Amino acid sequence: MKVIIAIDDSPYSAQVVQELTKRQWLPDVQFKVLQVIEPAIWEALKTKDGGEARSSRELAAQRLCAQVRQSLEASIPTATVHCEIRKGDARVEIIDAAGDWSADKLILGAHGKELCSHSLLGSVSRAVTAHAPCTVEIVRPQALAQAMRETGCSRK
Amino acid sequence: MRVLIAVEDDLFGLAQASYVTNTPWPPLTEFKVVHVIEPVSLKQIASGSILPLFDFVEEELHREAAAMVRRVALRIRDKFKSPYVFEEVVKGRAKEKIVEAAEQWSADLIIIGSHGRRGVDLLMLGSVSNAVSAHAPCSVIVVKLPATGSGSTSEPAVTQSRNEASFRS
Repeated sequence: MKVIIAIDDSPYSAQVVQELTKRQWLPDVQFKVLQVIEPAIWEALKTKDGGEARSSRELAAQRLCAQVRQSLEASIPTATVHCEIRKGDARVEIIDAAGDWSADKLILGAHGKELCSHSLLGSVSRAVTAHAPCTVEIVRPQALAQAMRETGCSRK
Repeated sequence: MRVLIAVEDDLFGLAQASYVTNTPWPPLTEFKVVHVIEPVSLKQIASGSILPLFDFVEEELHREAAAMVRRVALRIRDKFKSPYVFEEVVKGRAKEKIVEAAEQWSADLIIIGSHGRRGVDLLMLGSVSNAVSAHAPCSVIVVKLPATGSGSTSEPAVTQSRNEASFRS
């Protein structure tokens, strides 16, 4: 069983991971913690500083992935976990990663940054659900589902 | 834990059932298999693709739906030997009714199917699965058919994937 967990640097991702550690998993489960770094416009404009900024973002991404890996390994001892950082458009890279690794399942949060966004489902999760070659799980942590209910976001 | 399985047809129903039976669940997990019978539009009747819903047609539809729900439920029941597998047939708009059922039953997870359509068809892709993943009060798993997805079935590419760009940091 190969499972990709797509994360980003929002606090939402941490909740998603926490939710996953409470689950039951097959003993042979393999996780790939995937973070996609999307190129920022200002990086292209200022090449020199941009280069540094990019590598610091990469470092931050590596650190975050390592953290997630540790918490997964700690709570699911039989699992093998590894990290992957990709650069590019999040939607494309996540879908490609699933194909390249022949993942059985892709897990991602309902949306990254906004709780009560206009569309309710992030553009990334929407695209991935539509195009992914495998089963996709959109995780909505309990705390967030609660918040959605209270703010009336779950209704159109 | 409460898992709501919204089935659309037999094909996806069985894919969803096999997803459920191949996944470990906490003890005492409850499952509910739901099918929504959608109202027939005038357009469909006019195009001749479907009969107007006389009472007997409706009854028949309901019976068929219940049988399909039972088939999926049976697989899960057989596998887990659990009495906590419920069945339900609802009438209405699928997107709304599935979310509603999840809310009322306080489901922790919804499992739905999605046609892996490509190209132009993608524009109208699984509007139900999209709407449900957006409005659901809980996590949603969208199960694809093994045939439409290359992910789970293609074995050969598996072993070499370890030494690609992935790394342990």
